[in-house]
Formats: sequence, structure tokens, C-alpha cells
Amino acid sequence: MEEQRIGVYLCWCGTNIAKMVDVESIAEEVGKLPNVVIAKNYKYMCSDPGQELIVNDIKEHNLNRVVVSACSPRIHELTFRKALENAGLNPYLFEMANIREQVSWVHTDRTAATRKARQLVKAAINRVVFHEPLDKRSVDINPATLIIGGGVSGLSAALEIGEAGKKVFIVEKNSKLGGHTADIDLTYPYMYSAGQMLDSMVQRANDNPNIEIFLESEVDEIFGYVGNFESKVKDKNGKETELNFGNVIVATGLKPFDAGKIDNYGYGKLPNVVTSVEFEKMLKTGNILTKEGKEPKNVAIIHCVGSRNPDYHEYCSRICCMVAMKFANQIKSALPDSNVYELYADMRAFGKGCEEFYSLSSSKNILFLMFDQKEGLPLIKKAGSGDNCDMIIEMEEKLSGENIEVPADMVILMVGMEAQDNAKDIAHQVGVSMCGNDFYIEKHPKLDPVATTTDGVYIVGGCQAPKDITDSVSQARAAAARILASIAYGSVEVEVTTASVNEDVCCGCQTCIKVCPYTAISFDEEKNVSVVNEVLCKGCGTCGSTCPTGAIKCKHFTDVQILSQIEGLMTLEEV
Amino acid sequence: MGENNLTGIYFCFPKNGNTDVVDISEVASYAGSIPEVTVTWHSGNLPLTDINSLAATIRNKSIKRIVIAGDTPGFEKAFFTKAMVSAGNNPEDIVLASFREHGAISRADTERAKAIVACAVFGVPFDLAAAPDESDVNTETLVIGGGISGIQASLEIADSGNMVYLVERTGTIGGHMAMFDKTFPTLDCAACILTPKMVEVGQHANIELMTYCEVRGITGTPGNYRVTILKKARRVNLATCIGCGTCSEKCPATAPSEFDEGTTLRKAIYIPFPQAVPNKYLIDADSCRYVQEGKCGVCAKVCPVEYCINLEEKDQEIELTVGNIIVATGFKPFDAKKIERFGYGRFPNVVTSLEFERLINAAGPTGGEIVFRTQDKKGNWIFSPDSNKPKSIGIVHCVGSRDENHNKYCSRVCCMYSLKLAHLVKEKLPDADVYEYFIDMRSFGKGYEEFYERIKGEGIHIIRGRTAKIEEKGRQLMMRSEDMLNDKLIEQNVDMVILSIGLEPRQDAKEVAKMLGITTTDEGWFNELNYINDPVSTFTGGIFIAGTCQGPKDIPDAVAQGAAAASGVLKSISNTKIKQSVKDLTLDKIESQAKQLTNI
Amino acid sequence: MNNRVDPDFIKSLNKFGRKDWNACMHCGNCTAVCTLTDRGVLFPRKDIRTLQMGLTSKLATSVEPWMCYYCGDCTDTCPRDANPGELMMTLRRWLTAKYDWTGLSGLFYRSFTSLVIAFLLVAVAIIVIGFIKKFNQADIMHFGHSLEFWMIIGVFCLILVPNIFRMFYFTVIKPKVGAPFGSYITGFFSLIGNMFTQVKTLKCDKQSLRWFEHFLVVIGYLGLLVITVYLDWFGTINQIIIYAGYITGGLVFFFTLLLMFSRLSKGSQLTKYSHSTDWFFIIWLFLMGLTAFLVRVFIDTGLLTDHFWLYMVHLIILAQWGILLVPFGKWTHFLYRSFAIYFSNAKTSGLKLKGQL
Repeated sequence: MEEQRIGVYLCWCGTNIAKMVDVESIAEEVGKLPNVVIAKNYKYMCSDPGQELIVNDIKEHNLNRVVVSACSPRIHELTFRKALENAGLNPYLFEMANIREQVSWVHTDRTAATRKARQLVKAAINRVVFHEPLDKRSVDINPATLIIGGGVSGLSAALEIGEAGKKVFIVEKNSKLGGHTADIDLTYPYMYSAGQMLDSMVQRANDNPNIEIFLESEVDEIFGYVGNFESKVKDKNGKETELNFGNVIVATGLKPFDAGKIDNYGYGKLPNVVTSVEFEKMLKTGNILTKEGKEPKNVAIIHCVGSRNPDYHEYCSRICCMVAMKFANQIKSALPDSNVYELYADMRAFGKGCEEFYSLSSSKNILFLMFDQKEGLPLIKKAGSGDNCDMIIEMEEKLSGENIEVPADMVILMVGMEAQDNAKDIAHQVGVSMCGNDFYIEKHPKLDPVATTTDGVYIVGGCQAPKDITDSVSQARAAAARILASIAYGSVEVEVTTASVNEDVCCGCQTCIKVCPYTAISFDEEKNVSVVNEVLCKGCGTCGSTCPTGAIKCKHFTDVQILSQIEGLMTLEEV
Repeated sequence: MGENNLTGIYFCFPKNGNTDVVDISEVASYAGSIPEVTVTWHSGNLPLTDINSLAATIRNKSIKRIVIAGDTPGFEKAFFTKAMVSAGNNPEDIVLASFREHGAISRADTERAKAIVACAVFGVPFDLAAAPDESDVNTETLVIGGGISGIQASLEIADSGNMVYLVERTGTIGGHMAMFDKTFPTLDCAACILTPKMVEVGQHANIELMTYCEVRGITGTPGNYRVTILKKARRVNLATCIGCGTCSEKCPATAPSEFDEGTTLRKAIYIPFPQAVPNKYLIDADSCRYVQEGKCGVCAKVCPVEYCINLEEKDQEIELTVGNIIVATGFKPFDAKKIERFGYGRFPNVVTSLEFERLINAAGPTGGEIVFRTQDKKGNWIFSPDSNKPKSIGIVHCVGSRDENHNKYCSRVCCMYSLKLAHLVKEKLPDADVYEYFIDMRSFGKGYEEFYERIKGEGIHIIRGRTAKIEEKGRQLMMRSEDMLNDKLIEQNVDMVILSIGLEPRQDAKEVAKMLGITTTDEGWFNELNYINDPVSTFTGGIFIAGTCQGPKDIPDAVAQGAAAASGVLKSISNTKIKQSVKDLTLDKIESQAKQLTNI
Repeated sequence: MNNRVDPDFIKSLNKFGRKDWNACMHCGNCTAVCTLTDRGVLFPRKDIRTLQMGLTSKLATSVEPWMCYYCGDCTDTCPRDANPGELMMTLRRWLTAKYDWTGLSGLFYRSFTSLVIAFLLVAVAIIVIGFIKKFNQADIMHFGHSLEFWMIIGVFCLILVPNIFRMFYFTVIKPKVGAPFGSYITGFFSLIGNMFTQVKTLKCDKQSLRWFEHFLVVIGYLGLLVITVYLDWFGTINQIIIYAGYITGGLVFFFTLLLMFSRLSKGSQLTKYSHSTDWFFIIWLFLMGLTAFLVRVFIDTGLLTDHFWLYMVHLIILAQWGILLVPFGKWTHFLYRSFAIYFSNAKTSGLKLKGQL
């Protein structure tokens, strides 16, 4: 083996690490280890001067391995790898020891923490000795994009990419584009026409030669990897079309909560209890009538149906407060003599222009009554014969502490949004993960809200979490940006720490194929061995650990690397 | 034309007495001249109360389509829908001519309002008729503002292989997000997730980072903007500065640190914060004794690098040509001094949320320890690591927001950051009592409601009833609030109060808008092309807006908007053609384009 | 049925005061900013809530509107411009109408015309009596004197006392407050004290000058009342009484003039939204003081016989004041406020006993 010249850097991270770990003493100690040429400590390794330190030392001292002990590699591994590249060293000849999240942030005994950190640094030093240079890999990008879902999110993304001159396929399961937006009359807070907006978007999509629309169709399983996907689209008659595309945008949206699950509200039993979806239809057709064909004098709107309730869904569905107020305004316009009651838990009018909308709505004599779901849902009952209304809602009004009765001829339930019935299936087809509520998970909740851990697959709109049209459009365009950029760039980098099978050792048991979560391994019938598609492979290591013959080598996670790391961790030296 | 297109138009007159509005009478008389229009009404001659009489009129005049025109005509639509159905017509034949939707807000926009009505009458979507011509586009982009939105937009465009100039007013990129401690709801450390992006920007081959620069003027047309940039005199050579810090050590002049929200002092020659990008020193002319009085000059004397510090450096002007501009200039925090009864500025231990973020930040004045604010020998208010720790902290929501006397709008992020701060207080001071007073809890995003539930379970007193005033009571602060759910009046004595201040447009927002040729709301938030389906474009071609300069929002939404704006830019580059400005379209042009679309 | 919400009720309150209380979003600011709120006495938000929901029977049990002295801080700081201060004033008018068994208070608040007609009727009645007595000075002045006397007794026994009992019924008996009997005894002295000093006003921010002005008007008014009715100011020759009458009369019309100016200039919150009844009250009080003062001046300068119309005018004003404005107008606040504190203290004792406070 070549001579090891290791540079070790310990970061203070301001006081984040230095408070609990004596980094200076560790630097001194490890500096004495064999193969360690340099051991320094610095306040902020991730800053420009910190990286310059590494770059200069590599050049000056001819380092061929670098260890940085600092925060989590999830944060700055890429930063330091780039520093190595800048100095002309292969970025994989680098190892990070996490002495912040794994040590200083979770321990309170400075001596013990320092000892633990020192072991982690030694483990990293041990390991890095066995690192091998790995070359970057890029793949070409097919400039076509597949968009699953033709609602407002999918449509926005399609228009953005299609109008940029790139090919787009929209696959929509219904017979027309627009999704739930097609059923909406007006949008809050300025009461613009959703129909006019959507008509314009659909016309643009239909007129655009780059956008190919498959209605009443569904996507079959998607094979391939970023830049090079393929799939079949099946329409309602069974006709199949093969598609090739470079990126996928999942815009499958959400569906309304089934209000029948809540007994208190009598949905399905009391005829004049309707959902928000049903009411929107009434608004569109101009027939705001009870089942008996009369105009309601009293309309009650109940918020948070199925949301913010651990018995149904814990999360907030984000838009219902605003939609409910929108309804209230429309009712007041159509039926000026009616009384409108909003039964709410918190008024979530947070968007631009929305608080003003709330203020405006209050002035229209719309009565806002507060309830607390945890203390008991309002109860809708049929009114007595003496009452001059159809139903009575009993509730404890929290802002006054009074138990009140609200007369209602019609009750609108603001049902929350939940994942589609086939959310799991689609997730499996495209290779995205789901969180507890069956929403799709983004790569990073803050800084990468539309990408996923599967390169080339993006999630936008409701399927990521409930949101309104404006935020859906932003997300759709954000995904479009990433895709347009990658198409413009022409290629995309893929993971290099992949697995590979040693054909001589492989016994053909196919265990690895069964356990691979990315379906990256296929079987070569002729040679009777497994073959890893290194572009699909994410380097998770499952196959390597399951292989009974040890035929699979996981680059950058070889046995010798891991064992030496463990040795470094476990070997205590006298201090 | 013909019988099938007979249209009636109802004009909604503005209700709030504002005088700088579209001239509706002028629009109405214009509309009356369109052949298909058979009758025009307004609130004076058609009160919206009698549906039957309107239905009868519709039938009698054989009206097949109704256009409702006004600032936000949708509010009256339901009434007309009923009338149309009653008259036996198709309710879908009601078209809204929403002036506000298409940016016709003030008197100067009257021509555009006419165009909006014309399109409605012809049944053509306004945005399709108001399609500007296209022209060539320079592939370089200017991003104004180096906060998280600007950073995201820059990276998205730079990764495509195209050049970006990122202009940032202060000495470093990072914006407000760099000041935060942990971010809701995941509680990741803001600097940790931000610094990798900052580093990426600093090192990206396709991003020219221009810090300590301001945009001074813009001329030209979409696709070909000539931008004048003021390169403020940093007085420190970016290329040769090694960041040793000797200059700062010896500098005798101090000023309140902007990055620490005034809770610490920095020197006149300083680096804004340790992970700044670029990580170089700069001299603040306003506090430098040499620049102001011609005295001192110590920094230049002690600097180990020859010619690195040039105290005589002057501001320079640079010209750039770009095709697109993304404005991501951010917000400014509400000045809590405006609300006297909260005692901010009078009582040292009434702090704003931003000041508190710096206090609990490990890189802040006390290394992250929560301590009382005290006075130093010179009478300045400081957070000293040696001070005692408070045993009780109160948090007041909606300071300056949702308030007709200050800002009417909701600042969107304060409920969540207040919950976060309450949690962080408990984390650092487990035995402290934390009281949070709110009006409505707006925890609406993904994972937000779950976060709220988690905070409720941590022993924090969350009370519905916003504190009305704060008074001194001995050494403590008394917060007076109504606990509405328990029907009590609370006079809670606490050691420290955190005011959850709202977000406001920056002081110069309206000037910047004017310079760019875009419009703002009354408060100063930049106006988007269409609130619903085009939140990042503007009426000016090639100019996009992203982040909090468009309106208050949290980090995920700001990032999404930054990327969405980038998409708009990449679209034009990909097409090699850029759309000119919608605002420059004349009534004639829109009318003729609309007519063409009806003939298809 | 009692707790059935009625959103139309708020519209019917328009006649009593015109402001948009629907705008209230229940932030809790007003109740907390008010210096007069305390344990068990929370206002104005709770009353706004009751009002928005139209729970009129609950609203009638509320004493909180009387506890408010209209400093206007709540209105100044209300983030929705919902004007809670004016609501308290409006509720005071509404409650006055509610307590009044004759229904005339309500009538006069709702219908300005009816108030004007009533004023004219009284004026006509006095003139008719004048005719009958052939405008004989001695006769009429004697009549005037006994009218004052009987008016006070009549109004007190027939209107004010029954109305106070109605107030008691609404605020204590109907909501079953359960106040211990002892609290009525112990509270009695502070009742009298409050009545004559309205000392609670002082606790209300920035109101010391206003309190002082009102205090002087009250002293002047009560003094003038005693001096004219019981000491027969217009008939006496006792110099001390005559001068005392001048002083009290002067106090009345001078300070009411000041109060009128401030209502005109609309300086503070409470003067911004004057109801017509507010103006009648203050103008008539001013005219009462002024005309009484002038009558005595005319007597002392011997002008009265030739200018007897002045006394007629004074008598008309007096009659209108005593028969209309005192029992049915703002004068009643003098009593209701103090009784409100009295009943409220009783209520609080009741709640304390039950352990609810």
C-alpha cells in the first residue's frame, strides 16, 4: 500500500462541540498516531478559511487522506469532499467523524464525551486508510418528463416545462384535466374564478405541441433511473403506450376525508348535512337548496372535519378555514337574508390577503363560534316540530363558555384532505417513501421540498401535504426548475458508492435481488449470477450484508474498511 | 356575434372610499360600446337583493352571458349565478372581469381594466389575450438578495450551466435565516442546513457573488436589462484577505451588530458572522473613524498582508447586462417600539423574537445561555454570560400583526416560531415556567400541528388571550391577559417577555419596486402576476419575485418560490425567447389578440 | 331556547349605538388592557361575545357595562377597530331601556321622533297650565315649586325604585347568583359612597380631570336641587341660601358648558360617537342651571315680573328634565352604576363562596 499521509482536522463548531469535547487535546493526541502527518483544530471547519486550511495542507504536506471530525456528514460531507477535489485529491479519500450530533449534543460529562470523541476520530483515521479513490459517474438525461396527475399542480409543471420547449407527458386518471380545481367555483381570498383560470391553463396545455396528454389513463410500474426511465401507460380500454422519459413529477393529489366516519355529524343520515365538496357543486350550479328544495335560512359550516383529531387525522388540512369563509361570503351573496355560522377551532387565515378577508367576513354578520375538538365535537340533531329550522347543533362555545344551540337548515362539513386510496401503490411504482399520514416524503423538509431521495422523481402539490393552489403552483414550478436545469446541463451525477458482484464468488442464490429496495439487481440467467445496475444502486448496503458468500462488495463500505473502523473504536490506549 | 352573445355587464363600484382606483365609469362607457354588450348595470341601478327581478330582466333582454366587472367581482357572483339559473340560463356563462387579478388597481390602470372587460365579453382568458411579444434573451441572470430564496434561485439556475450574478447588500449572503437558531418543526439548526448552500454558492463556477453591492438602476427591456450596480467600498481586498482577524482585534470603533440584532457590538472592521460567505472582513463606513473623521487607521497598520486594507477605496459603479432578474430582497422585522404598552425599549427584559434567537444561539452573545438583559457600565443593555438566568418567560403573539393600528395582515410564521422558542426555552431551562399568549394558533403546515401538540405536552402554558400590556412589578414584568377559555384575568409575573414580532416589507421596498418597474401592495409587498397561478412572475417581463419580499412565509415556502422563480428564468433561456411585459400592452393590442383567439 | 343563537339581535342594537362589533375576533386585548377589569369582573369582550350570539337574556344579566367608565383604551388598542368602548356605552343605553318597566327609555332611544314629541307634549302641558293660571306669577311659581317637589317623589317612587328592583332581578335573581345576604349589608355604605363620588372613575386611566368636572356638576346639581326644592331658592330672602344657589347653579351650567365643548371637539374616544340622547341630556342640564341662575338674577334685579317668560322657560325645561330625562335617560346612570358595583360585589362574594373564584 502507498504511504499514508493523513490530515486530521477537529472542528470546534464555535462552542457547539468545543463546549463538551476537548478538541485541542484530541488533536494533540491523534497527531502522534502513525500515518497522521497533520492534526489541527479550528473553530469553523465548514467556513471558507477552514476549507482553505485543508486545501493548503493537502498541497503543502502532500496529504493523501483527510479526516474531519465535526458535525454530521449529512450536513457537510459534500462540502469537504469538494475541498479535497479543489486540492486535486479524490473526494472519496475522505472520512468524517461526527462528534457533534453523536457526542457534544447528547452528552453532559466532558471527560467521557472527549474520550468517546477521541475513539470516533481514531475509528475514522483507521478507516480512511483503506479508502479507495472512486470516479464520478454521470448519466445523460432524456429531456422528456412524465407527470403523473393532471390537476393544477401537474398542469402547472407541464406548462412550465412544455412552454420551455421540452416534451411532457401528462397521465391523468379522470376524463378531464384540472383535478379538484375543476370542481371549484371561486378561489380565496379575492374570489377569482377558478374555472376561468383552469380553462386558460387547459387551453395552453392542449395547444402546446410539446405536451402529450393521456386522459383516463394510469401509469404502470416505472423502470430505470434518473435521466433514463421507462414505463407503460394504460388507458381505460387497455391500450398501452410505452414512454421514455428522464424525470418524473408525481402530482397525484389528495382526496376528501369521509365525513361518514364521524357519528356526531350525522353525515349520510341527516339529509341536509353536506360536505364542502358537495357544497362547491351547489355553488357552481347556483342551486343552494336543501334536500326539500328550499333555500336555507340558516347555514352552519363546521371546520376541522377529520383533521386535528387523533381519532381521524392529527394534521391540519391547511385550506379549510379559508374555504369555509369563502363559502360564507358566497352564501351571503346568494342568500342575503340568511344567517351563516362558522363553527371553528382556530381561524387559520395566514396567507397574503387572508387576514383581511377574515376581517371583511366578520363585518358581514357571519357568526364565528369556537369549539374544542378534544372536549367534544358539536352534535347535530334533527330539530323538533316547534322549531323553525331543520336541525339544531349543540356545542360548547369556548369563547363564552356557554352551551349554545345553533339553528341550521343546512350544515356544511369542511372535510379534511387525506392520501389517495392508491397512494401506496403509486409510491411503490415510482419509488418514493411515505410518512405516517401516507403523504410522500420530500428529500429535505426545508431546503429541498420537492425532490425525493430517488433521483429524478419529484413530488408536488397535495400528495406531499395539503396545500392550496398558490403553494401547489410554486412547488410545481420548483420541480420544473430542477428538471429544466438538469436538461440544460445535459447530464446528472449519480451515486458512486455502489455495490458490485464478484461473479466468481456469486452462487446465484438471488437473496440480494429479494432484499434490494431499489430493484437495482437483476439476474443473469446465462452466467447464473446477480448483476447490479450501478446507476440504480443507492449504496444502501443491504445486499452486501445479506450475501452469504461475500460476493458483493459495497464500494466505500468494504469489510476491511468497516472492520478497521470498529477496531479503531474499540481499542483503548492508556492516556 | 349575434343573438347568442348578448351580454350584460354589472360594474361593482368600490366600497371603501379609496380614490386612486380604476375609473369604473370610463370602463363602463367603453364597455357599452362593445357590440355584444346589450346592457350595463352598477350598484346604483341594480341593488343585489332581488333575484327574481334580475332573472326577469335577463329573460326579457335575451341576455345569454353576464360579465361581472370590478376590483373583486367574485363576491357578487353567487347572486348572479342564482339569477341566471332562475332565468333558465347556463350558470357557467358568467364571466368575472377581476381587475385586481390582472393588476388593474389604481387609476392609471384604467386602460388595462377595459382590456379585462373586453376579454371577459369575448370569452377569452385575459392571460392568453394579454400575451406579450417575445424577444431574444441574454442567458445571464441577476438575483437581487442573498437570503435563502435568492440562494436557492441562484443554485437552481447555476446548476443548469447558466451564469448568475447574485447581488447582496450586506457583506455576506445568508439573510435572516442565518440568524435563526433552530427551525420549526423539525428543529434542525438553521446555520447547519444553510451553510452548505452558502458554501456551494460561494464556490459555484456559474455564480458571481457580489456582496456589499446594491442595485442602483435598471434600464432596457425584458431579455436585455442593463443594470447599474453600486459596488460599495469594502476597503478590504477580497482576494488577499486571509481572515486573520488582527485588524478587528485592534479596531477601537464599535457599532451594534446587525447579525446579532443589536445584542452585541461588533467592530467597524468586521466579519458579519464566522461562517460568512465570503469569509472576509469589511469596513462599515458609518462607524469607521477613519472614514468619518480621518483619524485612526490602525487596521491598515497591523494587517499582515500588504495592500489588503485600502482605507481610501471609493464606491464603484459596475454595469451588467442580464436577461432576467429575480428579486429576493426579503423583509424587515416590525419595530416593537411602536406599541408602547408592551414596554419594548423601556424594560430591558422585554425582548423581540429575533433578539431572543440570537440569545439562544450557541454563537450568540452568551454562547446560547438564556440570561437576563442587564446594563453595562456605559448604560448599554447587554446580555452577559455571567448574568442570572430567568425563571419564567412569557411569549406574546401577534405583535404588530393582525392589527388595524399597525399591520393588518398575518405574518404567518410567528405562531410556529413562538412554539419553537417556547420549546427551546424549556430545553435550556427545564425548570422555567413558560407562558405563551395567542389569539389563534396557526400551525398549518406539514408537521406543524403535530409540533403544536408536542409543545402542549411539554408543560408550557399556552393560553388563548393575547397579552394587552406589560408593566414593571418590582424586578419582574407583569403581563396582563384575559384567559378566555377559563374566564379569568391573568396578571402573570415573569422575568422576561418575548414579543413575537411580525414581518414587514423592507424600508426601501417601494423604491426598489419603482426602480424595477413592478408594483407593490399598499404595505409594500411586491405584486405577483396572478395571485393564484403565477405567484412569482410580475407584470414586467423578465422580472420575478421570490421569498418574503412577496409576502411573509416560512423557509420551505420561500425555497419553493425561489426555485419557482428560477423555473421562469430557465424557461426563457430554454426557449431562447423571453416574453415582454404585460404592463406595456395597450388596450388595442389586447383587444385585437383577444378577437383573434375567438376566431380560432 | 334560551341559548339559541340569534345573529339578528346585533342589528337591533343599531338604534342604541352604531358601530361594527361583528369585527371583534376575540383576541382578549380589550379586557386585559382595561384597568377596571378584575377577578370575576371581565369586560368588554365577554359582552361582545354574548352580543354577537344574540343571547339577550344573558346580556340583560350583565353588570359589566356599568363598571366601565369609558377611558377608551380598549378602543384605541383594539386590533380590529371593533370599538368595544362604544359597545359598553351602547349596552348602558340598552340596559337602561331593559330595566325600565314603562318601556319609554327604549322608545326614546330607538325613536328620536318620539323623544321630540314627548318634549313638545310636556312643553305644551306647562304652557296650558300657565294659561289656566292666567300666567299669575305667584300662582305659577308656587305651582312650579310643588311640581318640583312632587316630580321628585313621583319619579323616584314610580320609576326609579321599581327600575332598580328590575335591575336587581335581572342581574342577581335571574342568573341565580347566590349572593350571601350579609354582603348586601356590608356593601351598603360603599354603595352610598360610590353613588355620590363615582370614585371608580379615578381608577380608569387618564380620567381624573373628567371625574373632577363631573363631580363638580353633581355637587352643583344636588346642591341646586336641595336649594331650589327644599330651601325654596326662588322664594327665599336668606342671603346665604341665595348665594349658595348662585354658586351651585353656576357650577352646573359652567361645567356642563365645558363638557359640551369636549363632546363637540370629539377629543377622546368617549366623545366620538354621541347619541342624540347624550346631547339632550347635557344641553338640558346646561339650560336648567342657566335658566335657574337667570331667574334668581331677575328676581334680585326686579326684572322677573316684566320678563316672566323666563320663568316659564325654566319651568318647561325643568319639567322636561324631571319627567323625561331623569327617569328615562342618562341620569339613571348615576344610580345604576353604583348599584352595579353593589350587585357585582355581591355576585363576587357568591362566586367566592362557591369556590368558583
